[in-house]
Amino acid sequence: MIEGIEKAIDTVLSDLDSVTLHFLESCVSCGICAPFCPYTIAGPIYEPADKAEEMRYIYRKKMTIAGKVLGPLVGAKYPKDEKDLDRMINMAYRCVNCRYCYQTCAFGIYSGKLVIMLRRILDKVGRTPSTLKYLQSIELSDSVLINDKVREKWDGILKEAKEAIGKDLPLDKQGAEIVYLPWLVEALLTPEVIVSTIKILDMVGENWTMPSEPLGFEPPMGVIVGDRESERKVFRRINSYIAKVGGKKALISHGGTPYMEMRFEMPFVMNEKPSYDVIHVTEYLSDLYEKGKIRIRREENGKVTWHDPCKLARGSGVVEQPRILIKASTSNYEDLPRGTGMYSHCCGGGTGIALITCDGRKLVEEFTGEKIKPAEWEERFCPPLEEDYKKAIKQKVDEISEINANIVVTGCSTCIYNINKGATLYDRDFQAVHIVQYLLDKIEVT
Amino acid sequence: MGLYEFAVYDMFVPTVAIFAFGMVYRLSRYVFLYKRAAQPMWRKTSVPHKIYLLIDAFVHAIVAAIKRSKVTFVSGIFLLHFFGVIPILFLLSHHIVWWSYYFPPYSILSPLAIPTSATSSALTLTAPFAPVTGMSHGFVNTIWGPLTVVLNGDVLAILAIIGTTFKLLEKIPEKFKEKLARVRLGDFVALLLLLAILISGYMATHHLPSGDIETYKFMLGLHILTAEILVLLLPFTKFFHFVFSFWYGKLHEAYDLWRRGL
Ligand code: SF4
Ligand code: SF4
Repeated sequence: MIEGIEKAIDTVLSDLDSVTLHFLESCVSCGICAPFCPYTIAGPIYEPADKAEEMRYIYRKKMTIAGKVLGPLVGAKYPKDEKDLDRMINMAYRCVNCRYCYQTCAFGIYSGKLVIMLRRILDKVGRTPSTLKYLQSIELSDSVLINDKVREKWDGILKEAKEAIGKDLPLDKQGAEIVYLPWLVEALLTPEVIVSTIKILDMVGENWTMPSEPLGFEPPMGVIVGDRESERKVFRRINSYIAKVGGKKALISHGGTPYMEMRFEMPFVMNEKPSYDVIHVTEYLSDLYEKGKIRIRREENGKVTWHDPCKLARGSGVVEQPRILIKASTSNYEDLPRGTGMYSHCCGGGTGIALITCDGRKLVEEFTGEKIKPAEWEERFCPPLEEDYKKAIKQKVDEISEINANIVVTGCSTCIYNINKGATLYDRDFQAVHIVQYLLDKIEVT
Repeated sequence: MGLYEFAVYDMFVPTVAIFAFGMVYRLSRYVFLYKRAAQPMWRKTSVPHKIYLLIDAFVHAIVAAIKRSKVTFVSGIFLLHFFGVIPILFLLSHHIVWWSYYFPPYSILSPLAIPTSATSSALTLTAPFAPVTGMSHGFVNTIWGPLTVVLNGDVLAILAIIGTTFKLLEKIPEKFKEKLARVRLGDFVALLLLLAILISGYMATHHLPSGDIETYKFMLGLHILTAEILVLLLPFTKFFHFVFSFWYGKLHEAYDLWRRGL
């Protein structure tokens, strides 16, 4: 038996609720969800229900009478050796938590949620990829600007923003209407998004503020690595900051994990309603546009499309707003062909996947100037994951190529990174940009 | 005592008792694990949009299957469910009588009864006069009219048998060649049981393999007994989806869609 596994299982299953029970017990193995998962391309064993089955083995063994009595005969077992752990890790990290399986399951089962439970168990037995563990430790530090190199990068972004608006940034200001929350992951992947958002806030004369340093790397990293306690800790930090400055709305430009988690999951995790609204910059801009506070200048620069980030669209219902804005800017807009909104196809690299590939690790190392030492098991884990990640992002770039789009506008830093990486890898002639960058020069304040 | 008597007289009460116990056990787990938590701010959506989302939650997996899993749609959803098991179970004339015996208000569905065989369907179309029957309603005289040429027990049972057999065969390479973890031993048991019910029912209806009363009683007894096994296993197997998981899952999904304002 693997050391600590029983305790890990007990802890993870101790906060089971009825909805998760349904996810665990109701799969009939129909396979309808399979073609929609971005990681089925890595092989049928990575279909959503197959990955989730790893968690079901454990659940049955722990919590069903048949599982306790009949064991493997009814698919009930605990991981017992390295081989089992390797398999579990492969399953747990071939999921980007995109929610597409949930949206297409015949029974409303969210397999991705069970995959996160697997990550939680693995985290407790020390099987989280070292890059994620490192990023989580950054997030849990008193300051995410962990060393001079990172601080320098962050200061550089603030300096650029200050120069762009020609005045001091209203950092940590009390009583602002809007608290802009940029994260360290944006400083890593899309620093220009932070600068552009600040410029827009200044341009429209908003009463706003932002923390003098990010409140997290990509909060909550706890949800990505599977650590509930650290999730709560980071949420508490964010809530107390907003309470301290007295903001009414938290504005987020990264439409990946932080937006969906803060907007829809935080109240469940913390069991309290936040005292502020959480809005994505796309919602903010479309609201200004619809109220006539800004105009958008038309400019024809080739075909434009919008990629719906899973967590922003399927996970949070932000579907119409970006389209209103982009269509106001060009007559050459086309939706992606394989599905939009609730049915959009994932970029393939969210929920930590892009950063745990070998390339992702190098990127983080360059950013922080610190070496991440992978564990021995990661030597087996990383190269095949890298290959599967490339296959997953290829599906997205192929979809974009189908309509010959030149500009892919989106609202999530991770999506931008993955799509642009795919475009480079597969020699495609388009570029992904964030909506604030795309609109920055087109916005006119009325 | 023969199999028929055993199934009809001895097994009925234990079947209902085990089913009831199982349902209480399964449902109570859901009740006990229910956790109240703070809600996020719901997005505002109109009532018509909420109704649309509710319907969509039930429909979109079917649409997804039509788009990307055509084989699953035809075999699993269309043949096995829509044109197989569901109409046979609830509307086959013999079954309406059976349901009505235990639950008299069920007879309200009698006008929708589906004739058992292609022969009776043909009579619906070709008989020059309404059937004379001492019963309260004539089986051949259903509202389905000419549709009974396809909507009859024989055709539906054959479709269901084809669908079930296909699903069963499909799972063999999935389990043993592709080594898919999601294909479980229970899937085979469930499909074999379903197949046994369908085949024994078809054979009993047609007095197969021979027309003598003993064989008929045996086949009917086998049909009833296998159906009882399904009922008593229902709360503990994937058949639970039919009475609970499907409905719970889809209602929860609709609720989630409302919350997120999709
Ligand atoms: S959440 Fe997305 S990546 Fe994960 S199993 Fe479901 S479809 Fe696949
Ligand atoms: S669609 Fe749902 S029930 Fe079917 S295999 Fe996928 S998770 Fe299981």
